[in-house]
Amino acid sequence: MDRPSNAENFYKGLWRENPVFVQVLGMCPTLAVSNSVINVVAMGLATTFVLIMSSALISSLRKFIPKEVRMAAFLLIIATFVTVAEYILQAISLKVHKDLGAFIALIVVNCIILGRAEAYASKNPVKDSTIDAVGMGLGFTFALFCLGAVREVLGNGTFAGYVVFGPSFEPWVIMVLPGGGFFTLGAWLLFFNWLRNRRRQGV
Amino acid sequence: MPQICSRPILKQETTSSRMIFTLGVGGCVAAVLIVLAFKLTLARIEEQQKAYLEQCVYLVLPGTVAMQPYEVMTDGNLVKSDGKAKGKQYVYAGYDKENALTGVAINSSGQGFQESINVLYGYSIENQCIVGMQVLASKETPGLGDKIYKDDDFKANFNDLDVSYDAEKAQIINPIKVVKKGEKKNKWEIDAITGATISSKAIGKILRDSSTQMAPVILSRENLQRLKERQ
Repeated sequence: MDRPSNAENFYKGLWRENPVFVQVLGMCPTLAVSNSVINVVAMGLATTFVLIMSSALISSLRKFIPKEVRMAAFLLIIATFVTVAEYILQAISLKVHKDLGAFIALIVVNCIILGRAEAYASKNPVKDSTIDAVGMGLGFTFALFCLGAVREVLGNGTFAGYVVFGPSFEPWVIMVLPGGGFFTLGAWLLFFNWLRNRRRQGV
Repeated sequence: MPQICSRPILKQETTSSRMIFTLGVGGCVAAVLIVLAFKLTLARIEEQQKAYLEQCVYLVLPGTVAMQPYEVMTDGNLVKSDGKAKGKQYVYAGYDKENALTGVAINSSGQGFQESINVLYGYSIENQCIVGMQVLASKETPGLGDKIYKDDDFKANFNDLDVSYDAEKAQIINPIKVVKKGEKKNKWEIDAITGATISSKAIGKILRDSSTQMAPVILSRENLQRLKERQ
């Protein structure tokens, strides 16, 4: 089988195999913390950091980890990097850390990270695994950003804290509540997959 | 001759000692990395937490424009301080535009549902009640326990929470009580959050224990004078 080129390996995480819109993984943080742009960027970058570091490490150790304990070993590595990421985030911004609350710790059980570790990093060389991780992480951040932008603009009238509409704008509060998260995700999934079908049909 | 598909010879199964060794080494390396990250970020995080606490003093004591930290000494005396030394207990006196005492902000923590909850609350000396409460740090369940700092109804409990102190009997007349949502009848009761009883009760306990401990300290004649005159 032809090895995919580096560029292909990278881009698949953004589009063809986007973790949120195509693989439908990591739904919990996608819905929970996507109600503001700053939060989604922080969450996306934290997840990407953990994904890259753990994929790289797991890939470099793939020949040494016995397959019977591979899940335990993967989780050990992922949990360590999540803890490190949490301390780093706390040192950068106490406010964002407080807003994200328990969801940083929940990155440990984000299916994307364990999924990529099992499906890709444990079977491929370090360079390929790292590129795959970067692509998937950025794809996840991109998907989160799509949701966060819509939800914050409609639900709060702001974008990354900057007021977008005038003072007479009545915010659509449901957008920042869980219901709005589901609606927005559904709408994006519909749009994204419609676009994919059109491309596939060669329009 | 027909090809007989035979199963490849199985690799030798991994020994238990190999598995234990791998996870053991992994655990040790993980521990080193985590402690390193903790130590490297500790100073900055503590600095930020201090700054955030000081911002919250203005939020829990309405009308405050200036504040003064006081160290709580073991003999119960309040001593003016810059509030920077670690490991000491502080309270923060708030003053309005006319330099009159608005109240004292007190920092306390206790066990929540998940982990320790850290709060700052404003204590009004004239009315002997709590006038504001800010959750500084909590890891309560998102969507349920985190309502202790997100739910407006719950936050409203702390605008006028009675903690009157009886100096003769040396006790709070009506200790804070957490009741089911909607059943609050008295000024010393807190309406709990539906679905987050344990987190609500934790806040009640933290405030009850702290006010019981601090009311006599703050209301003592010498300390009151020091606070009012900002000495």
